[in-house]
Amino acid sequence: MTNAREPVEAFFRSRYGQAVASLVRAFGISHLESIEEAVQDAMLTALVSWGAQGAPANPGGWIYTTARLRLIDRLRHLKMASEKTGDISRLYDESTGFLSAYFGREVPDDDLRLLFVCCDERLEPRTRLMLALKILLGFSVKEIALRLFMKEDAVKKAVSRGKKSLAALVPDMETPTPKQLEQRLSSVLHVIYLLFNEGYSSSVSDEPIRADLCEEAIRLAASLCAHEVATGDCWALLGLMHLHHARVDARFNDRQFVPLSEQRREDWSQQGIVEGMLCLLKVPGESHGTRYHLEAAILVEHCRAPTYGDTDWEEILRLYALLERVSRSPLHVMSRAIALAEWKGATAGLEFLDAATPPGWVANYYLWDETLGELCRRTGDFDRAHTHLVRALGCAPTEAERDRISERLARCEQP
Amino acid sequence: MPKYLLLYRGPESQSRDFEAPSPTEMQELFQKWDSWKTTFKDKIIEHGDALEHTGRVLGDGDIMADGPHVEAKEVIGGFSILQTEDYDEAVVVARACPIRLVPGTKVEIRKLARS
Repeated sequence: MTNAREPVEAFFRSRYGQAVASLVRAFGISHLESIEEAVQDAMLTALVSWGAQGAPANPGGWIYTTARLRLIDRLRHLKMASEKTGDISRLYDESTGFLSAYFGREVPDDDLRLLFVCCDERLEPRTRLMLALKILLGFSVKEIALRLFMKEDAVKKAVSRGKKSLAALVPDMETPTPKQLEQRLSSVLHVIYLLFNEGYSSSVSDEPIRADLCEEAIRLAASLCAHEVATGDCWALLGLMHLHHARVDARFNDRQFVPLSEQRREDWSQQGIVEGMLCLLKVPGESHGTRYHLEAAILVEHCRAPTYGDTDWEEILRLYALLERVSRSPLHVMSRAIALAEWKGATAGLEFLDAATPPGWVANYYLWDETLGELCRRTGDFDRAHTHLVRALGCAPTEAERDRISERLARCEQP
Repeated sequence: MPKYLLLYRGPESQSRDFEAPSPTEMQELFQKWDSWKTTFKDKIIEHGDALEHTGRVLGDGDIMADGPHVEAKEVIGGFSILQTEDYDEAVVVARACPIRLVPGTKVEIRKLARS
């Protein structure tokens, strides 16, 4: 029995996408279905074998090799079953397993490359995200449905349609051209950020933070930054995620949310903050003032303040105002209202939020209600606070968030 | 005490008519496998292993290189060996095996004849 050199705890989650991506690169996206099955098979085999015998020294290599052999068996069989599939021996080189095809200016990591393929501009933005979650992270239909607030059936249909379009849009072995890489960059960044956000405030009911997703997002962004197609925006996003991630340990105490005002700042990871700042230094002047850069700048303000009371709210509000110009989002409006309440008082924050007209989906979003409820409570309007908090409580996805809202509710019932 | 062979049978992936466990679920199964081994450490005398899906089959003087048939609807995915009081106890251990949480998987229990 050999001990795994990497922790097996997160292994299946972190390596699924890499195995799929490497095989897609070697065999072509047209075999996507077979590739996904082969990797799932290899993981099931790993489950039994490692469960019995312990994990091998190089689990990643083991999964890849096993999946590759299963895939070759599968493709041979498919070929025998239907000669129409063409000469598959052309698709792989027996000696190395890879076609020595040209990958000029290639994306360094297979999974990052596959992410660019999934972000094909001819696909609907939501489909891109679903495909990335399914193919790169192995999310089940149920897991995707839960995260994207969709019905399972709808996800199933969209994913299968998306895969078909992908196979049709992307000829075998195609690597996006440099021009396509540039076009798709913002979409890729968006998917990475969504992935990070899902990890940072998870929609899985008993897992308020999924560190593996955050780390996966950071890893993808970091390898993107190493590529020549990287722009200042990539560095800004990486910096932003580092700064968020640096506070991850302080956000929870015994599975309870700790609000920013009560977080122990000595628990913030100084290393993470420094890493984030270093990334931001790489953002050239012309990329200042973009969405990710401004969001990061707001976090920098928080990280700079020695205590919550020292926060420079005026500067933060200035940044939110800039942010609203480049990226109008009800979530930014919400955060701005909170900052305004800190700076000028709860009434000012509430007036600002009341004046905003949120789009339909936000009207039922628990954080919106929670923010309104909390601001009302601070102004002394307990009846209205109660209504909003009760609504928020009904829609909050995780136990930890429900606890936090209940606590606020209790505070407005006994003022 | 008698010995029992547990055979883990599952559908070949092409004939799966349900979704395979996601990596997250697989992760949980892996942890459950560990606790299964611990819970029944006195009963599971050979942890066994997983089996590759294809191998060689020797028939009447013939070698079939790709047997069992790749087109088989079902494959034996792995095995373990138990030593328990009786069949009933072997069933209790087998029933708790986490492989059963993988949709479509069956566990076959066979007594070793001379044990």
